[in-house]
Formats: sequence, C-alpha cells, structure tokens
Amino acid sequence: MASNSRKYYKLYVVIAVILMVFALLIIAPYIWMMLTSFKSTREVLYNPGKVMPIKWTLSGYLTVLTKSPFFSWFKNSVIVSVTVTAAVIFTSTITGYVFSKYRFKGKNFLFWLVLSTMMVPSQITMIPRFLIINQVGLYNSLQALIIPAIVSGFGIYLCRQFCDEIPDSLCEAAKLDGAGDFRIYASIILPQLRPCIAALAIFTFLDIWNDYLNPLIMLSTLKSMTLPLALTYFSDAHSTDISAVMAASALIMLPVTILLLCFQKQFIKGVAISGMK
Amino acid sequence: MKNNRFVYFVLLPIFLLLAVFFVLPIAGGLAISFFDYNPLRAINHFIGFENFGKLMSDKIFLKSTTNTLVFVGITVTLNIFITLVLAQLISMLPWPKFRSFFRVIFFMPCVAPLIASSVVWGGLYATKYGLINNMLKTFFGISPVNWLGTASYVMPAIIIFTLWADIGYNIILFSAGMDGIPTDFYEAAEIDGAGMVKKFFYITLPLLGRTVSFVVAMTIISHFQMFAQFQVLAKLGGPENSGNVLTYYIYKTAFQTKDMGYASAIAVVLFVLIMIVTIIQQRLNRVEWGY
Amino acid sequence: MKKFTSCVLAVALAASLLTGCGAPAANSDSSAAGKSGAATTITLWSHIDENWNPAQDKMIADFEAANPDIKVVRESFPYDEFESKTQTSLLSKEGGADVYQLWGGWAIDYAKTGAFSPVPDTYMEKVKSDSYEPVIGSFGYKGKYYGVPLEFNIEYGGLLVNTPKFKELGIQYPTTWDDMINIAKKNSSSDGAVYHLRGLDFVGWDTLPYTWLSMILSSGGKYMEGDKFNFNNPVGVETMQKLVDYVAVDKITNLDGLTNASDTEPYQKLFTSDEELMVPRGPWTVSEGIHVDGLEYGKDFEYVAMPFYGPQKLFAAETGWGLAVNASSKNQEAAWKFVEFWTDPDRVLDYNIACGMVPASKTAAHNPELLKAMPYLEPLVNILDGGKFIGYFNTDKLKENVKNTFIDIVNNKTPVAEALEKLDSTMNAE
Repeated sequence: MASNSRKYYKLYVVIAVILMVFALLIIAPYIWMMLTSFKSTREVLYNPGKVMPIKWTLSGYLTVLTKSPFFSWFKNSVIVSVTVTAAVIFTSTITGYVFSKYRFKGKNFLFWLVLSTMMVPSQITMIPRFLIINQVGLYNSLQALIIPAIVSGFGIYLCRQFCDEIPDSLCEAAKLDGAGDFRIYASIILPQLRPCIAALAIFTFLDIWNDYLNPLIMLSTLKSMTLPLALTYFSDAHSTDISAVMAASALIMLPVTILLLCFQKQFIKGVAISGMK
Repeated sequence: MKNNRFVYFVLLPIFLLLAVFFVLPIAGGLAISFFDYNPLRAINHFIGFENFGKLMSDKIFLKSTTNTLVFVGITVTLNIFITLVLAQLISMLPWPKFRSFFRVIFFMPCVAPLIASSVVWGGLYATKYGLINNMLKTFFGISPVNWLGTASYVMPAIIIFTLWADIGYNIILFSAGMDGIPTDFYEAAEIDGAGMVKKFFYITLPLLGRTVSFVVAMTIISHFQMFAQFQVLAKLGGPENSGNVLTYYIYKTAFQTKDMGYASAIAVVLFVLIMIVTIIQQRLNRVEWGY
Repeated sequence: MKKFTSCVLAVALAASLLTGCGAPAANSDSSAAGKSGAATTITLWSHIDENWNPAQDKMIADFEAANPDIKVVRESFPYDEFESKTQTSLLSKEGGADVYQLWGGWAIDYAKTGAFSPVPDTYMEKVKSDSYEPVIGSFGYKGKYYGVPLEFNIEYGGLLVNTPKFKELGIQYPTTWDDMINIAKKNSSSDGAVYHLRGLDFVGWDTLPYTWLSMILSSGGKYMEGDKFNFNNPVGVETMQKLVDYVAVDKITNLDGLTNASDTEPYQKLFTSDEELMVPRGPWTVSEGIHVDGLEYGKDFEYVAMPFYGPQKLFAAETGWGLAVNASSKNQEAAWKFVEFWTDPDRVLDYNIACGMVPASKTAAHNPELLKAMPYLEPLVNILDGGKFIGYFNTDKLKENVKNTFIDIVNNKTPVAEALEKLDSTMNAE
C-alpha cells in the first residue's frame, strides 16, 4: 500500500500529525494520573488549574503502601493470574488436540457445548455460580476465582482451529513409531502451537488480571482481594485523598502497561490472531 | 485417530468443570428466575412468570434497558467509525516503526483494568479539579460542567470514556485485515484514477466485510456486558438513573437487595438481547464476501 | 492428574447438592478447639475506620486480659461494601464472623431469617432499662431482640461550621432556623457547576431525609399512619417545598452531594476543600475531621447546635451501630461474653468517646466524663429525649426514595404533592 513516492510525502506527514493528536488524547489521562499522584491532595484541590506539581511529593504512594495491604493484593493477583493462565493453556491445548485429531461419539455435540459457553453472558451465570461456590465452601478464597476459570471455551476453540492446520500425517507417523497419545501431544502438537499459546496466554492473563466482577462477588475479606477489586475498596476508604487514589491507580495500571511495552509484538499479534480465526 | 480411553481421560474432567461452572449455572440462572429467591431465606417460593411480569411495570428496569441500548448503539457506532478511520490512516503510513508505535499507543488503555481507568476518569471528570473542565476553561473559556452529576451528561461522559478504553482492540483487528489486502488492488484502482476515499469504500470495506461483521458483533456483545465504569462513574445509577444499565441493575438487585430471582429475570433479558446479536451475526456470516 | 480428577469430582458432587436442599457444609474454619481447655478464638467484623478500629482493638485487648481463655480477631471492611459482605457471609456458612458490629437498621432484614442469635433474656433486661427509646427499636422482632446498641446515632441536631469563614465574614453562628437560612443565602456563591461556597449543605444520603423528617416532626406533623407511610400531607408538602426552594431558588447548595460520583460527602468537603459554610451531620464526623484530615477543633471548624425548624425539639433517629452474634457461630458463649463486656456502661463510655459516638446507654450519656471528653456533644445531649424511633422499616430504602424524589422535584419541576404521592405509593408497595 505504501508506495514511497515523493508526491505523497506531504500527505504522510499530515496523517502522522492527525494520529499524533489522537495518540495524545489517549495518553493524556495517564499523564494526568501520574502528575496528580505526585501532588499533595491539598494542592490538587486548591490549585486545580495547575497541571504540573508545585511541590513533588510521594505522600500518595506512601499512603497506599503503608495504609493498605498492597503487597498481599499484588500477590493474590499474581497467584490467581499465573495459575489460571497455566491451567488454561494446558486444558485448552490438550482438549483442542482431542477435538481436532480424534474421532469419537458425540464429538459435534460436545464441541457445540464448548462454543455455547462462549455465548452466555456472565450476568446470567454469576448468581448460580456464586451459590455453587458458596455451597462448596470456596467463598472468599482464591480458589473461587481459579477453579471455575480452569476451562476456557474460547481457549479450546482457538487451539482446535490451530490444531486443524497441523497435518494429520505428522501424528500418524509418530503413532507408527510407537508414540503414545500423550507423547504426540507433548512432542508434536505443543511445539507447533507456539504462536497460539502465546496469544492465549496473553489474553487469559489480561482477562484474569483485570477481572473485577468475579472477585467482587466471590471475595469478602480485605486480605484475599485482588488488585482491581482492592482499588475500589481503597478509593472508597480514602475518597478524600485524591492523590493517594491516583497513586493506587497508577500502581495498578503500570504493571500491565509495562508488560505491553515489553511484549508489543506478541500482544499485537495475539489480538490479530484471535480476531482472524 | 481413535483412542476412546485417552479421549475420555481428557474430556471427563474438562466437561465436569464445564458442567459445574457453566451448564449448571446457565440452567440455574434460568430456573432461579421463576422463584422469589433470597439466599438468606430457608424456603424460596416458585412464582412462575411473576418476576417477568414485574419487569414491564418497573420504571428502573425500563430506564436501564433504554440506557443500555443507547449506550451500546452510540458507542459501537462511534467505535467502528473511529477505528476504521484510524486503522486506515495507520496502514497508509509508509514507516513500519510508526505503524506499530501508533498501534501500541492506541492499545494501551485496553490492557489496563477497566476499573482502574474508570477511577482515573472519575478524577478527570471532577467538576473542580478535573483535567477536562480545566482544559475547557483554559482553551475555550467554557465554564465548568458538572459531568457526572447532571442527568444528561453522565451517559455521554461514560461513552467518551468507553471509546478511549476500547478502540485499541478494533484498530489492531482492522489493521491486520487491511495489511492482508493485496496492494495490486489499490494500484489498479489508482490507475483508474480513484482517490483515497473511493479506494476505501470500493476496495477496503468490501474486502474487509467478514472482519467488519465479526468485529461489530463482538464489540456489541462486549459492550452489552460492561459494568465497571457504570459502577464507578454513575453514582448509584447516576442522577435519576441516567447512568443505570442492565448489568449494574442486575448486580444491585442480586447482591445488594438480595432479590436473586428478579435479578435472574433481568439477566435473562440481557441474555436474549445478546443472543439476537449473535444470531444476526451468524446469518451475516453465511453471506459470501468473496474477493 | 488423578488427584486433580478426584478434586473435580468432589466439586461436582458437592455442587449437585445444590439442586437438592443444599446441606450446609459443616466446616470448622477457625481454630475453634473444643472444650479441651485450649483458647477459643472468636472473630469480630467491623468496617474500616481510622478511629474506631484502634478503639475496638483496645476493647479486645482489655477483654483478652480479663478472659485469657478467649482470643478475639478483628477483621474490617470498607464501609461501602460492609453491608453486602455481612449479608453474604451470613448466608454462606464460611468466612463469617462470630460477632458483627453492624448498623442497627440492617438487623431488620436478618431478624426474620434467624441469622443472628437472640440476646439472652437477663442481659437484655439490663440493656432495655438503660437505653434511649430509638436505639433498640430495630433490633427487636416479635418480642425477641437480635442485637445490642452501642450508640445513639444522631444525624440531626448538630451543625459543622467552617470557623475561619465565619470569622472572615464577621458573623455569629445561627441560633434560629431563619437565621441559619439567611446566613446561607447571603454567603453562597457559585460559578456554573462549580460552587465556591455552599451556605448550608444538607444534600446528602443521610442528611436530607433526617433534616426533612425533623422538620415534619418539629412542626407537629407526622409521616406515618400506623405502619403505612403518609408524606403527602400539608406539613410534608410545605417542608419539602422549603427544602426544594433552598436548592432551586436560593441556591444555598446544589445536588452534588447526591449525584456526583467523583464528589466526596459535604462534610468531607468542609474539612478538605473549604467549599462549605455549614453542614448538618452527626457528631462522629468531628473526630474524623481531627484525626483523618488533621484539623484543629475550634480553629478550623466547630460543632454547634442545629436550630429546629418548628416549635418542638423533635427529630427522628434510627438505632445506630450495635453488636450482634452470628447464629451459626460455634462459640456463642464466648461471643456473648465479649458483647456483654463491651456494653458495660462504664466501658462502653470509653469506647463511645474514642469513636466520637453519642452513647446509647442513659448512664453513659449522663456521665460528666462524656462532656469533658467531647464538649461539642452538649447541644446533642440536651435533646436526646426528643429522639423518636424512625420506624420499623429498611431505612436505606427510605433514603434512596427520598433522594430520588428530591432530585426529581428539583430537576424536573415535578409538583411537590404529586412527587410525595408517588413516594408514598413506592414506600408502601412492599
């Protein structure tokens, strides 16, 4: 598309400027959040017109780190996100492989069932799910967030699509060599699925890391909270301390943003992959 | 291949989990909507369609439904328009470094927890110290607007926020689609003397047809289910319930007023709305979008 | 893998119980040792409050010193989520507490469900004889009581005033209703949606309904007939019209306190951003101003008597914070022991003082120590006998509907009588 001729050069610059303006609109809230988090709340309220802090201070961050169990929230978030991501990769790849390469009774119906779980809004399942978690005695534990998320309809669907592209002959050949089903999965399928696994890992991790509704319903004590839920608690408890609330928001937004900047290519490719399938 | 033992060994635990956490809850969600269900009570009565009967005379439900449809309609329309234009502009740039730079910048808000960005935007919208009012005053001399406290402004404020938070995804999806269009199409059109706008409407859009229909459906479905920003930016549903939507109303009814039967009935309505979108998309998918 | 599968199976089995009647899972989650002489551990749930929590910890320490065989663990939650957390924990047999410090009004929902254990009779007799009328109302249900009051919650009768602003303007604190309104009218100023100064900010979730109810009662009016609401009467309409005009015509405040999600409460604005001249609020805010916002009482703000609208010094009050014991607690005896220890009139006075609460106990309220510690309570202690129990209903529902009614009249110019008619039918519709 980009024909590098001179006559278009002006046009490209105009386009770049337009995009820059939009990019600035996207970035502005981040900048405001960071600047506000380095002001004192008094300054925020009494000098609303000033963008830059008159006096830089870390008091907002100190409030977050000393007056809230921020590190245990962070730890909870990491535990849940990492466990679920690992579990989802395993269950999705192996199930996708089974659906793609094996013939068995009821295959179509079962796969339809997997697909249908993707269509159902969480609002309809959340009430019974809460009651089930309660009944099983997992209420207010991290397991309440982990166990229901181990199987992902989307993950199974994505992995099946990718497995379909792996030639059957590869598996057949391995079988003739005497490899068992699990061996084939581990040594042939998994390596081939690498791009799909990367995309799936990114999506699952983001979904769980950012999830708010589930923790809101399933957790009750301060210590067991994950970051997004904890933020609402923190901002309620410190509603008058704007700088501390912005500091907490910054601390929660930064890790994922840094991840994105480090793994740009994988992120962009992951989104594209999931949309194309 | 065939190996029933292996297949069962894999699928049994998977489908048990699916059964417990998806199938049972779906059935349960439908079932509970026929009960006057409060988990604190020992006995809950079957009341048939009473919950659904209540819906039609419930002003807050009607308002939330209207709000939801307005929110989804306006936000998705704007979202698709903006993302198509931006994706097109990005893919026109001849410098690969710039292209990926812009994609990443636009994608930034998508990776942040929605609840955290909502909290930040609550600050941006603040009447007195918020960035938005201060910018309007500095550059346009507009006197401060009470964004989140005025019934007619709450929804636009949330729509603007949602656009900011969610355009990144679709920009990447459309960009990927546009990058996949062979350049000789455009070169041929150029020889015929087609301008930029013409190229977009006669080549890009038709060839992206399938992607666009998929993206539109996915965007609609995800917007129907948005919740966090309404909880943060519309105080208790906003002034005169101007910021109340189905998701928030369901949450409030189920977990605060503890009327889980009625909440499930509202959830069924939301479910039906989403099903309609899904079915339409499936139909559209059968249309031939050939090269 | 085997382990995982059996885990899943167990989950599925347990879940299938749901479709049956749902046998409660009997799990002993705390370290509740039996009667083997080991220490019993009980948990106390409260909401997060920078002043109250240390006072609770002190109470716990004193109790543990007096009862070395019982340990108490405190867990606290943000106020906004505390009610729903309490509810969910009571319906799930897991993760709940033995003792809750909860809002008395919530007890109304629980009394019917048997979630709380009834207060032992002999102890309740003591509580009844020493308590003010409004404070035990909502704990009672069919002749039994399901909780014990700690405080007389009074959201009416006190006025937070912005002392430096009054000095700057060179005016005295108001002593009559008209005086108060005139000061507010004269000194309110705004620019579009931004208020530089709100003269009298009564627009808040609690303040608005309590101000209105007191206006009705002190004019000699009523808002209930038996157990039915009746706001749409001449006194109700007249007082509501007054409140609406204060906002719509006199502009002494705006609706931000009820509608704006990025806004803090009026009293918090008085403490932090100087936008308020007078804010009616309960006395508990005083200690928040001192401890949380680091203000100096007498220099940065003061707390004075709020004039009554009509000739009679009457106001409506609901219970206040109290203590209740979880019916499914395995340590009933220890829990009640702790509650009784806590509510002893002398000990509860120290707690009340530390938290800035008005005591529920008459003995504690008349103890001179109270005014020595909190001189600003004087205007309130004088009117406690004028407190009327607000009524046995869910006050949150009332507050929400009064809020909606008020916003509707101000924004949409709905005629007051028509709006109150709607309010009555909504409130009576259950």
